[in-house]
Amino acid sequence: MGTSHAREFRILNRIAELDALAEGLRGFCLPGGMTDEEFGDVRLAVEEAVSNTIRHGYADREPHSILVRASLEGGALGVEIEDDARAFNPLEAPLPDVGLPAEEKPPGGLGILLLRSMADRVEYRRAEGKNFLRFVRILGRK
Amino acid sequence: MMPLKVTVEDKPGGTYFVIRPAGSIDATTYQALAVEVEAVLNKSPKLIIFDLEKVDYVSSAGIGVVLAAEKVMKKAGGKALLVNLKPHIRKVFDIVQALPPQQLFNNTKDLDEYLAEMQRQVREGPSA
Repeated sequence: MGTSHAREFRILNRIAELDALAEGLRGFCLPGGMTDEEFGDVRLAVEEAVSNTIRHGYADREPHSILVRASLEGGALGVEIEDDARAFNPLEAPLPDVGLPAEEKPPGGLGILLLRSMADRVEYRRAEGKNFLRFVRILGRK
Repeated sequence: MMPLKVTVEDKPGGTYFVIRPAGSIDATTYQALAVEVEAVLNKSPKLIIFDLEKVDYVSSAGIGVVLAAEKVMKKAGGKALLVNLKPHIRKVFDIVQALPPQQLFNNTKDLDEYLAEMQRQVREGPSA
């Protein structure tokens, strides 16, 4: 199994699919030069984005495909998540006020905060009835 | 990925409990932790300690369990503490500020000193 510069993973909109997705991404990222700690951040960003889609993105209980494309180029990992869930731009979602005391903290919103913290750049577009969420993580960043 | 293992130790008198998850606390495993935490909360402890020495990954799903525990504890006049966080786990908790920094301890020694001071204050009252 050689080192690939790009790989696609297709999963269903089921939380249980996240394990296999993480394992697949690990198998792509680590041979490509990513450290374990860096991959932990990438895994977190992907889990937060995909689990948010799975939990909140569909009005039905039907199976839907979620496509995750990973690419390594120029010392950076790019990950693009494509789904046909309802339109949602995480860049426009309000971030939680983390300074609130525990009893006032709302239960949600942390995932988007973590996604945006783990990535160096996040981009979103909506096209042909699909969400395309892309984030970039520079390898070796402090 | 391995399923999450959780052990619970109740300290003498049942006044506080130490919860030790091992593995990855993520969207597929957090419920195993939530079940154990709920069982502990039902015993009305004054203190819950999450020992995260063997936790190698945590996502918002896992943080949500800790935050929910802190809310219940705080309402009852108690608190939740975290100890033995690996640096990358500490980083995640710092970003979301699930608990105040004074409730996070990098090692058992620091936690023990804090607990000893708490017990001293109970016996003797706060320091001047």
